[in-house]
Amino acid sequence: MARPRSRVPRLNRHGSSSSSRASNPPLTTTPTDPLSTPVSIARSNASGHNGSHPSTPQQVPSPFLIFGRRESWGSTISAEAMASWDLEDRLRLWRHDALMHNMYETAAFWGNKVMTMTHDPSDVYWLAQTYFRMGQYARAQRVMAEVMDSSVACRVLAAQCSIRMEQYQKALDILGEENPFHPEIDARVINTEGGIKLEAMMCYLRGVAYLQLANLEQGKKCFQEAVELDVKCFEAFHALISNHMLTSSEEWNFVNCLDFEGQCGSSDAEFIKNNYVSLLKKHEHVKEIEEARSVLETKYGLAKNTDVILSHAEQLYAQCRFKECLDLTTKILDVDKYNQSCLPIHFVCLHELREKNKLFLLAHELVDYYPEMAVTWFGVGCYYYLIGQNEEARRYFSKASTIDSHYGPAWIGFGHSFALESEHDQAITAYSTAARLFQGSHLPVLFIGMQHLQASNLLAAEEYLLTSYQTCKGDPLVLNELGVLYYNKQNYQIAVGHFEKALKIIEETKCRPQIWVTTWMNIGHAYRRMCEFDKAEMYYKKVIEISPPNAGALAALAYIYHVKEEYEKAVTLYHEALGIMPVDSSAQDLLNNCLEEWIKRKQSQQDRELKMLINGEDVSDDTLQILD
Amino acid sequence: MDAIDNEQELESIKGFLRRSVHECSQRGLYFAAKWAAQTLASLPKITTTTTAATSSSSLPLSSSYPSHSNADEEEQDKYLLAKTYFDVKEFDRAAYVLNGCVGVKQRFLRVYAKYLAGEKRKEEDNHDIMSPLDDPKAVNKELLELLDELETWYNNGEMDGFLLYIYGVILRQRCAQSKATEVLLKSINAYPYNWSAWVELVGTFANQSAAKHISTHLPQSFMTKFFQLYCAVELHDNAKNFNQMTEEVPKVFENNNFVKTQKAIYAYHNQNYAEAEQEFDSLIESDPYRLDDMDIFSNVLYVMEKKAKLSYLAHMSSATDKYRSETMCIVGNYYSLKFEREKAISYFKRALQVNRNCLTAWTLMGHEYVELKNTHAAVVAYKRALEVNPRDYRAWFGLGQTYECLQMPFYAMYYYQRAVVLRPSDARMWGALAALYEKQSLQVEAIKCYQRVLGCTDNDIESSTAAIIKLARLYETLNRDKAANYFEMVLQQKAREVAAIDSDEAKHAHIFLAYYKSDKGDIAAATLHAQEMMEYGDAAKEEARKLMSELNTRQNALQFT
Repeated sequence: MARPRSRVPRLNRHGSSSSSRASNPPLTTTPTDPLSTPVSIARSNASGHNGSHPSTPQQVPSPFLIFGRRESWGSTISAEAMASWDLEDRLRLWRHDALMHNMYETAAFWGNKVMTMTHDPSDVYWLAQTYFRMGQYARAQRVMAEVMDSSVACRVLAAQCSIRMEQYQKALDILGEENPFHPEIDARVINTEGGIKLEAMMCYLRGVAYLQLANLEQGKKCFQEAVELDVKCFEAFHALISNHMLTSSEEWNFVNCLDFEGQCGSSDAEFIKNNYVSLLKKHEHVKEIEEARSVLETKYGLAKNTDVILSHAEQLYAQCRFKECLDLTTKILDVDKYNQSCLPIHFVCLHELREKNKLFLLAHELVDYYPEMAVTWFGVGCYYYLIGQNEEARRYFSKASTIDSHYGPAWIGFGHSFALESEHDQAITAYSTAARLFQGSHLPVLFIGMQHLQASNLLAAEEYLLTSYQTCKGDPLVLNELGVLYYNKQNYQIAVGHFEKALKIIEETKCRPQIWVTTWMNIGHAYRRMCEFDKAEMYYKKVIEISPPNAGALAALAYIYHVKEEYEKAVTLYHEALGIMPVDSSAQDLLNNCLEEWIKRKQSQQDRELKMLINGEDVSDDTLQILD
Repeated sequence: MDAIDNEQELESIKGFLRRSVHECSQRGLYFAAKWAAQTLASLPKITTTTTAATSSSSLPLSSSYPSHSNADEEEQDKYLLAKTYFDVKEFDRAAYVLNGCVGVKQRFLRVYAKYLAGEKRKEEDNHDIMSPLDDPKAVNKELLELLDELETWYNNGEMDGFLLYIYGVILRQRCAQSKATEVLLKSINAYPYNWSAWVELVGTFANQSAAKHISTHLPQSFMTKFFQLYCAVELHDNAKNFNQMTEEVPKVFENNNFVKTQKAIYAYHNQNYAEAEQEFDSLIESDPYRLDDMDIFSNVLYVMEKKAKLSYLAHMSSATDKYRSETMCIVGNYYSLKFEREKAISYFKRALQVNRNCLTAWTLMGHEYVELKNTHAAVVAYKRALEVNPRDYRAWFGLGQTYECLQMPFYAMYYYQRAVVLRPSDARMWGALAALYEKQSLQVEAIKCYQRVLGCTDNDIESSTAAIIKLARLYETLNRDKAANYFEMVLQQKAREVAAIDSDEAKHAHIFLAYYKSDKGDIAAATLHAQEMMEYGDAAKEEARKLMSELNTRQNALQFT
């Protein structure tokens, strides 16, 4: 089934972080901006007037207190203090207050006034910001047209506007196609204020634009630059990770090379780094990721944080411990019902555990609340896939990928639904799209390889499977498929090697052995082909032990006894296998053969014993020595 | 002194049983509780008054609710709630209440409730008996999860006798027989008074040797004696061992219905139908509303063709409880005896609807289908019977017969062999196998089997005589000495008139022996046989005369030399 991918953050969510910026009007904080005129309203208010009239706050029946930072926005500012300001400052205060509370018309009205009065780039910026939040992107860009060249902040906003309007090339034109601030060369890019660096944001936006223009390589580079410029720029990091742009080892190197300490100081550095490490791919470096998580849980009190729990859930998922994984994702969704990054993994776990009822309800709820999100339709697709209606499943998977063409899980599910119907070519096409989107993930490539394997294109299969193995050496599934490949190439020794490696990993991850019954069977078959019947017998017995009733394993074990000429045992086991799967014609044939050989042996024994009897010797009675 | 010792022992046994009834019913193990209560009731009264100390220690009811802390009390309350749900068969609900409890009793009830919930769903998923959708391999979906949990507790040593018991039950369902044996042994050693655990333990044995193997690991208790008796019946031990086991059951249990039942069942399996009938009669007399094992009684009456009594039994059991699988089996048997086969089958099916694990019904239904020549259905029914209990020799034997009818001798051979392994002292099984070998011209194997027939102790004269004749015939071409031996045995049987012997066979025996003796030079004996031949028709007379004259010449020749 599709491994979970969290959603691509296609839309810039800069707006959400702008509340922190709003307390510090941008131009005061950007030393690189030549036009900056420090008009620090909030700060002057806070320091100058805050709390001078302690009685005021109680009198304000304020629902805004829930924001926590309300006091710095002037509710505590006394009337006299306000009166001492000039009109412009008061207009700015109204504008900001309205903006904070999503009263955009108000903000635009007063902001427009103060902008016309001052022509201050800062006021232009805030008016544009207001328009941006109203969804009037073109208007925002128009307002900023004159100051854009001189203000970085304006340029960032303008680029965001373009991206919202899906004018990606224009966004690149605004941002410039290359990053002028190479972190090594340009030491000037130092953030004195401690927020997120605008340069990093620019890099990130550039990356988003490239991604949308299908220039994945360039996009990846931009995202990496963004994180290098400012490690706090999570969106860029998230884009890299959630889109699986980097392979596991690349991710690991990248995180290790980031200059956390230099940018944030040692205490924050540890916090950020552990947070990032906990988000990496869970097939390799599991121990380090676990450590990072435990630091976050114990030292920073994040044990109940959804992201930290999700990291754990992802690890359990990678280890195929679906039940435990589902417990965690359920816990997350209890707190945060529509958690975007948690939903796909939750869906897939429900699918694995065949909880179709829960899947049905959740998908329905999502359709009601978020019909515009890809993950919703991915969930619906999962449901139909689970109940075996591939046609319907495909419809919804393709709906998900229409909504968001970068949504990989949908492509994988799409491919799976074809694979289930043995439509290899179409499955490969779907997987290929996923592979193009998720260059760092080994799964799409693995699935392509599996399709080739099933279609007996051994050469192509080998190529893909090896590529997948290069990307991820810790997934037992890849090893199992490689084993099958070499088995089909009749290279049993190598096949066994791969199966054994897979089983070793499985043992280490402590997942339920039932999930990997196939691998146990495969290794048994490989040993059988190598005529190492004792070993094969051992593995078949293991399969029977962990997953009764298993007709295939019983028949295979019967065959081993058959070959070893222990006919009585073989016959019993063939019978048992046929009892479970009465239509297995090959087992039926083998049973008949076995019975014939058994009788033949009896007859030869009979000939021998006849002679003995004729000679007057006694024959031993072995009638009860059977079936012990 | 002895009497007092006995009294004290009796008192302690009673104490254990009382406790067992209590403990088992607390955990919803009704069958075990019923068994313990029945056994307790069968014990004689205590004549001398015992000291207060012993009687009070026998059932310390209050101390079984030790409430040390609030947490304990909370768990106890949860248990009480869960138990009420359990009693009204809301298993999932009961299990849910007990989530997270750590007391052994709570844990047991939760696991058991979950297990039963799974069983119930498994039943419900199944369709009509023998319909195409009836899936014999349906599994209890709760098992995997429960197994995980139980395994952790087991490895941590956090289990009492009851938890070990349910672990063993689940392991058995997962076909992990050897592990199940180990766990169940631990269970009975931890708590020997749970009869269900003993029954499960017997279920893990494939044959007698397995039972013998573990005998040293059994606890020292009167329960062990019951177990060994039960084992002897279930595993078809020979009569000597069985009698020894009955002897070993302590004297105080002489009025015990369980022992009586086992005797009756054993007698039935060994074709001592009269004895079985007698035992069952006395059982009904003491316990007129009893239905347990009455299906076997109906089998006895069926074989004895006691139509009226079977009808009486059928009416009586219907009056007691129409919807018990035992009742339906009895009614089915009744119709079968009246040759109303379709009706019989419908009753067996009803029995299975009530209880899918009703062994008797599956096997008998197989028999009915054989009579109706519906071999396919017969095979299915027998195979289902074997899934319920792989030690049911009747089903193995029935399968053998069915495949023989289907002209699939190799299959038949396999099934007969399985039957033979289960009942090595049953002449019927050996006879059938021998005949089959003979048909496949595997004479040596046939000889071995016929010799086994003769070796069976509880053999009727008819079949052993038939076996002797077969052996004589088989040896005729192979080894004349042995053949002669058997032919003489044939004639002895005839002389003693213990069995009707076909005159052709007798004639054949005389002819063979006459020639054999003459070849050996025993002219007198040969002449004797030749004279006997005279009595068997003209052709034999003719041959006898020829032989006589030949013998005469030889005798004369001998006298000359």
